[in-house]
Amino acid sequence: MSEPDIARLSGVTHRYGSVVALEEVDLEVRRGEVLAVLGPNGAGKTTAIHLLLGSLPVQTGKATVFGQRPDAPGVRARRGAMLQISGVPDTLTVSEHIDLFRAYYPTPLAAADLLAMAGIEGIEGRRFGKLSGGQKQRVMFALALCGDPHLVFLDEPTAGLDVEVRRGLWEEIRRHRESGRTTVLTTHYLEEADALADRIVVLHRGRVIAEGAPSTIKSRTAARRVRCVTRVTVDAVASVPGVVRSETRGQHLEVLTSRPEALVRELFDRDPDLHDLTVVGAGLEEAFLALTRESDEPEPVR
Amino acid sequence: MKAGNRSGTRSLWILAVAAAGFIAALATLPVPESAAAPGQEVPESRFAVVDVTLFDGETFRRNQDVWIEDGRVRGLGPRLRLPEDLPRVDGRGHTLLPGLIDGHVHTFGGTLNDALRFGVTSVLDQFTDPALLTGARAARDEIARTAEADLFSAGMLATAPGGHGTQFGMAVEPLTEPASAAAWVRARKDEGSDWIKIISEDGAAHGGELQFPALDRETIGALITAAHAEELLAVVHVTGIERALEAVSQGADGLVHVWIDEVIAEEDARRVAEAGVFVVPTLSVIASMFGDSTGLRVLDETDEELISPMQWGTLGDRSYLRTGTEGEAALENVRRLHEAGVRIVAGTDAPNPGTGAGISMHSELRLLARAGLASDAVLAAATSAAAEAFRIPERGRIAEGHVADLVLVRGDVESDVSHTTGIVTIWKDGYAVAREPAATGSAPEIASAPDGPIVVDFEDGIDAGFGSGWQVTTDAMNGGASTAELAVEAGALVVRGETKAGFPFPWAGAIWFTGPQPMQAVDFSGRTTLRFRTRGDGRPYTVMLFGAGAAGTVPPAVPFTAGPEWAVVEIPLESFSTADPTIIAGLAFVAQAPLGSFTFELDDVEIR
Amino acid sequence: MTAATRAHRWRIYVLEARYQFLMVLREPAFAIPTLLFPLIFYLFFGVVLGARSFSAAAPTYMLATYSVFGVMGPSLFGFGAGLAMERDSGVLLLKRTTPMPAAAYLLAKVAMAIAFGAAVILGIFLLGAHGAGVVLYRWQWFALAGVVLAGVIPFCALGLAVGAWSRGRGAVAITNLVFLPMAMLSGLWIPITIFPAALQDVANALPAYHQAQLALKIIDMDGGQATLLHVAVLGVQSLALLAVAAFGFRRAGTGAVSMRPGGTS
Repeated sequence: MSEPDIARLSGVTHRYGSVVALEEVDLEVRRGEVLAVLGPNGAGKTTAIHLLLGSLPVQTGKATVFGQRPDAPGVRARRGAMLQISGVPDTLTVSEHIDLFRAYYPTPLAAADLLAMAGIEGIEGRRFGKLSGGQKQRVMFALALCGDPHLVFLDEPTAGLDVEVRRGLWEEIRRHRESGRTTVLTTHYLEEADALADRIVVLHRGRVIAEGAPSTIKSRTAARRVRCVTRVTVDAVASVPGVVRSETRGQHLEVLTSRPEALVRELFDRDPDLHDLTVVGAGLEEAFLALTRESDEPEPVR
Repeated sequence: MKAGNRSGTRSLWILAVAAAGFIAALATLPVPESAAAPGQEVPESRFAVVDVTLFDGETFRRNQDVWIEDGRVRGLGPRLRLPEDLPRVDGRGHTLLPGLIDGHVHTFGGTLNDALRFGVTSVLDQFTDPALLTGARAARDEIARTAEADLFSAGMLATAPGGHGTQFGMAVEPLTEPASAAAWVRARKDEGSDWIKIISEDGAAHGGELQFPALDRETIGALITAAHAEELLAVVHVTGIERALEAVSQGADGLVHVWIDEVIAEEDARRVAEAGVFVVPTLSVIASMFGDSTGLRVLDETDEELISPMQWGTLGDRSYLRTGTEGEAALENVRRLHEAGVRIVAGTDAPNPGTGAGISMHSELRLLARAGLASDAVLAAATSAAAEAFRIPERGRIAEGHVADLVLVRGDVESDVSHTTGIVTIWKDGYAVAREPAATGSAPEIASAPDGPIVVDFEDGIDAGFGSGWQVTTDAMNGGASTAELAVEAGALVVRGETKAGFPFPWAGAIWFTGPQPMQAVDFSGRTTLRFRTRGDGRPYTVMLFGAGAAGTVPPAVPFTAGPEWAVVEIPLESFSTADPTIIAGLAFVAQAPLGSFTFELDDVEIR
Repeated sequence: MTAATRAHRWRIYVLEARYQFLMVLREPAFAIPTLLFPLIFYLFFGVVLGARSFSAAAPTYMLATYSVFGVMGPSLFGFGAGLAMERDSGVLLLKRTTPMPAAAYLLAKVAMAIAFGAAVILGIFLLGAHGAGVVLYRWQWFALAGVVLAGVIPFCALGLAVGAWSRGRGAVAITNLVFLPMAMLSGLWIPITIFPAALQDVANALPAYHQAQLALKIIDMDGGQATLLHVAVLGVQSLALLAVAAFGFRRAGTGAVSMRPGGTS
């Protein structure tokens, strides 16, 4: 385990026909870290994961895991994955699934340990089809860990789960993080990435638009939307520090900014008659948009 | 890892147990009762032949079981549900045929036994002594063990005075006018004839060699009409195409030879087919006339012990032999008739010279195949077609309720009809046929002759000279009525006598028994010629050579003429058409046809 | 390769087959039709109706053809419908990210088809032997079982081709559309000799027909064509179907289509 990086995408571009899924993506997974790949649906997260799993062929660029091709036999033996799939066959029991997946790996974890790690003790005798959604995801999580992997991919592990169940699964993943395994998880919940990851890579429309510690990313996406009726022009506010985007919507001026206090002060200075003012937190989409703006427009921040 | 291994190991155990269970279960599945190999301890009357290829009379059917009960076929089909105690014959690798039916024979002596021994379980006789018919009907209607084929017969034939059929010496009631046809046919029916056989023959087709008075067209027509009125079939002997086509147009039901003088035109063949007339080509006798050796080849292939002296004698007899291409014409006619859809019935005309009763049926099948009939058509001609053409019930097919006349032969007859000679078992009425010639008796050993020429000069009377002497010989030994007496006058043997109707090949004269006792053969090897002096009334005579164990046969013969002046006759021994003419038990100097009294003298008879 | 890794690989094959078998055995929608239908059909047509005839030929003939039918079911459904559904659910994709050899997955399905087929033909054999009085030479029983089970090769190839080119529920429908008419036209239910000549010609194009003819050859009830012809046709058809399947997988992947943008869910 002496590789500086456990897995890497270098200059990867991936297309499905005319649709570009990834464009010039560089992604590095460091040893022992939990990396969250954050992005909205269609951002290219799953494509990136499958390139690293070797289940998609690399079109342009390079993908390596443990310094080898992602589908090399030695790589498969040291890697685990939890994919966005509807599940394993309904008619086999939890322990049968675990028994089968353990058989795939040369040095599997003990079945009892896996049950404990995934928090599914006591349901091992039940058929997969009879389990709840959360239990199924935990089983899939256990299957990902069967081979005692050095690298685990969790592709949207909590998608479709309700909040409570999702938080329960976070507990298992967080405990797993303490085991020191390198983990790549994809999510479109910033909150999930924040709760689980050491580092976040933000993907948007196939590009890495941000990368950093969760606190950094969080602050950069903590945008607010300021809305009011004023005679201040769109251009005039564009130069205010923190403003990401400004536009006119009907009578309203709408400004997206990371520093709403400074903006509001500036607006009142220029137009004491402004009215109908609202300041709201922007959604994740807008946060990504903010990041996109930064990445799309390389010129100095206005 | 150890814990995980358990499910894998357990799976392997389960797999092994399941596979073993599967194999064990397969091994418990029922298998057939063991069947006897063919030929050993042949079951009779009540048995089954299992897993055999059978020819049912029309087609070959593979892997059939045939169930015989009380001398009849009780059932057949693939995998019959057979009683467990039913004896079985394993038929694999064999073909089961219906008993063969020879559509043209003449019955006398041991021919019915000879026929059955070669798988011919029924014969359709086209001229025999009507006295046989009553017994034949009784025998064929009974399901019982028998050593003879079932006989169906025309009985006496219809011919003109002095016409073909009268030359054999058997009593024939000739016809002269159409008006007598009805009474004649009624008389045949009363005698027990199964059908009416009419001779339409003037010898023309034989290139003028033979000439016969023939029935006129009107009489033939009247006979056919009369036969039909009595609900009898009318079959016609023809050897020429013109008379053949005329018989067809006159409503004949069948023709019992194929013509040899001309190849039939396709439209004429179609006419024959449309008229529904069947043809019994008798290729065996025709082919042998023209030098074909198929019959002799079958003889060669056959175990000698199975062949009766009569079969040896008649098959080897080349007295009908001549040259010509008529044999090919006959084959071509059969080919054309078959193609036109005419029903062909296999028949041999045995035991005429060149044929043997029963045995020639196997060469007939090969000749029919050579004429272009496929295996199934060949065998149908010898079974179902024969039975249907002559309205023979319950025979000619392997079918439920039919008489269990069966022939089991080795090999696949469909691929090659010559396999019919590989007979393993014959069942007649469900009884296994003992395949031994009825007329065997241990022939005395062959004596040897001193070197050099052997001469008999009659200087010291009739008993002088070599061998056990001279005696009268007539066809009485074969059931004939001819007579003869011998005397030595002036150092020469005088033979007087009369040939009379009775045996188909009548003879009377003197026989020289060359062995130490009568009919003991002597080995004259190294000698090549029979030489003698003779004179007489100018009619034709014949020297007949009797070989080893030759009783009951028509022996090979060479003709000579005894004219008014003494003359020397030299006959090469090889002119006698028999297997080894230097093995001689007797030499008969006899008068044959025409019937009547005769006188001739012999002197200085020499084998050199 | 060390002994340990060999043992490890061997265990993957064994367990994959074991769980494939358990999985479908517990799936009533699969197990009941494939196990029971051939037995019920044979019981009805072969034993009850066939045994009324004087000859035991009908039960014997059907013993062979329904056995072929019995092996065709698990082969076609295991591969055709089963594979398409497992591909849709993503299990196949997940397994492809593990060290599981692809061959283990395919052979497990073949093994499952053999196991189901063996169970079905054993049932048919027992029904025929004890219900309809079918009697065969011992070598014929074994050879028939062997030849019929060898039918998993062409039938699995056919199933694989169907599975490669269809998806989920559609695969079940397509498999049924292949399965039932082919069984009928190949003479598995009733001898094709009663069909019009044109339909008999169609039979010559169907692998099930040639498979059935090979089985019938053992009991000498086949149509008389050459053994080599049947073996050659089955061989060529199997290879062609495998090629069709391979092309289908290359086109569609083992489930990666669901990763197209907008396709995530």
